[in-house]
Amino acid sequence: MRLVGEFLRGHTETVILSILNNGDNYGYEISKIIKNASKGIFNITQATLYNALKRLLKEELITNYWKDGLNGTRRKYYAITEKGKLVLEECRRDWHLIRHFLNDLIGGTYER
Amino acid sequence: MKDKLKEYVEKEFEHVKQTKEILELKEEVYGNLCDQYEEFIQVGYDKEEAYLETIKSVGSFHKPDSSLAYFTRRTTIVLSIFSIFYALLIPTVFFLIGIYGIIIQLLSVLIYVIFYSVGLFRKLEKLDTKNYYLLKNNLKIHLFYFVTMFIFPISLLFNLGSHYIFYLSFVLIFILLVSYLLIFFIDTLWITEGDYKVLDYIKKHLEIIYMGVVIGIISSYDFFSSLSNYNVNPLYLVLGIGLFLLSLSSLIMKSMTHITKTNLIIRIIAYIYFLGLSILSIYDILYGLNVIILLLPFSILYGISLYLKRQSKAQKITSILNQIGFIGIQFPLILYFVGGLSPFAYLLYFTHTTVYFGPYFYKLFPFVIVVGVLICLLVWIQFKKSPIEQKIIETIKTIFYIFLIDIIHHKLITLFMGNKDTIRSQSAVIPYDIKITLNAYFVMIFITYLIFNKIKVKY
Repeated sequence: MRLVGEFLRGHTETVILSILNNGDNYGYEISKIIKNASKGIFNITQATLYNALKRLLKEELITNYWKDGLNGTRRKYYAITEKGKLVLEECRRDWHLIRHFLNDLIGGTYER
Repeated sequence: MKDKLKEYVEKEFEHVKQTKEILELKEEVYGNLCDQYEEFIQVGYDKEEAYLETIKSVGSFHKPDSSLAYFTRRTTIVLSIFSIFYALLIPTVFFLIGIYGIIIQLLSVLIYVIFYSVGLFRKLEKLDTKNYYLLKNNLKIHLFYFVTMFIFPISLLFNLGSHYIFYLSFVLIFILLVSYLLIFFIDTLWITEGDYKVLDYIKKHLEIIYMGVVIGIISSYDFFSSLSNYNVNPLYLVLGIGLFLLSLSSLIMKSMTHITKTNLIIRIIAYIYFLGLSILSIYDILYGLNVIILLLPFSILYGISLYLKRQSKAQKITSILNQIGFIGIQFPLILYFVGGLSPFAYLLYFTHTTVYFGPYFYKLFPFVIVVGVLICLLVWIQFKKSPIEQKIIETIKTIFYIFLIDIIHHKLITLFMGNKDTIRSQSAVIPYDIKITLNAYFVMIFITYLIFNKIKVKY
């Protein structure tokens, strides 16, 4: 499990874009999806999540808006932008490529 | 528990400028934490466990810098060992060279703060939040009592004239000092909370013995026998009760992690009482002048600055109350400390130094400078990373203290001493009703202390 955290940490922003591509969402739900998908191995802190979201906002890959939540609290929802969708597509293409050569490199099946 | 979560979020961002972005971030983080907390509760965690698990998920929003937090562990340990040896030297120095010993004592308190801050920052860095707040609160209480108790034995020696009391006080204070340092040292070594609690238990009981035997019995006896034998200006008794209320409310506040309606009401009553008292004391030259001229305008000014700085209404109210309370408790001690009733005055007399008072008080200027520099340094360390508003507030506070020392000292010395020769007669130095007031204050502190020890402290 040593590599999981490292890998995910390097792809936090892509993961967030991918989650938002399935629909608008807010901080806690995003972190929960990540945690569940990684079978509890990767527990993203709020600070890490916030910094990643901040970078995505700055690059205009996502936008945000407030919505009333339960118990009188407000939730800040995030939505992917058109630019974000394009970047996500690009990242997904890169990921397929990376996945193949990492399979070979780490799995030891590469050609000499 | 959600209030506690809110408080946690506030603390996480308390030293950051409260921009619109930060306010929104706080709201967002708080909302997320509430959701997470609810989920923990639903799956069967109890409230405390759910709270701790929830705050673990926060992480750190602050970027690392080269501050104290990043001292290495080895450095911290070396510094702690040094501080213990340093403290062990204090008693010798204190007895041998009087005034210089006390200056070293002040320096040592400063050093403890620095060294212990290093340890606390390291805890914060490791996100050991529970321990961090536990120790932070304890440190505040320790320093408060440490400073207070340091003044007691010397005052008792000269007020009541018993050298045995002085030696007893000294031995107990020394034991306390060493136990504090052991706790700090052990804590720095990351020994468990259980070990810490055992030491804290021993220390607390030593304190109670000290306060009970030395302050409680002796001072109470002196106070009540004085009451039965002399006509006492009732204003001073009223002041004593006011101070008691302030001390009590402040200690209750210190023992709480957040404001409840009960402790807020107690504080409000105490402050109304204290302010009413100040108005009453217009008719009294000594307390009237000092309280009205010095204390209140500053409290108002400082209170306004804090009011403007804080965000929520509850925080605004607490800021003002805390400030007035702090000055209210410190004021009599400062008055005692510098106003011709000072232990320094007697020590100077005792050690036959050439420094005298009254119109000659400017000769004390180097001492005032030393104290001023120490206060400034402490303030600088505490608020190194704070926003500009906080720095301004602390600067005002520091200047105030330095001026207060000078002005009160001058006023009281000229009122009661007249000239340097009168210092050689103790009866001329301390008007009897003031002496009684001070003893009343000690009694009140003692009662407050015992009550405080009975209150379950929540961290």
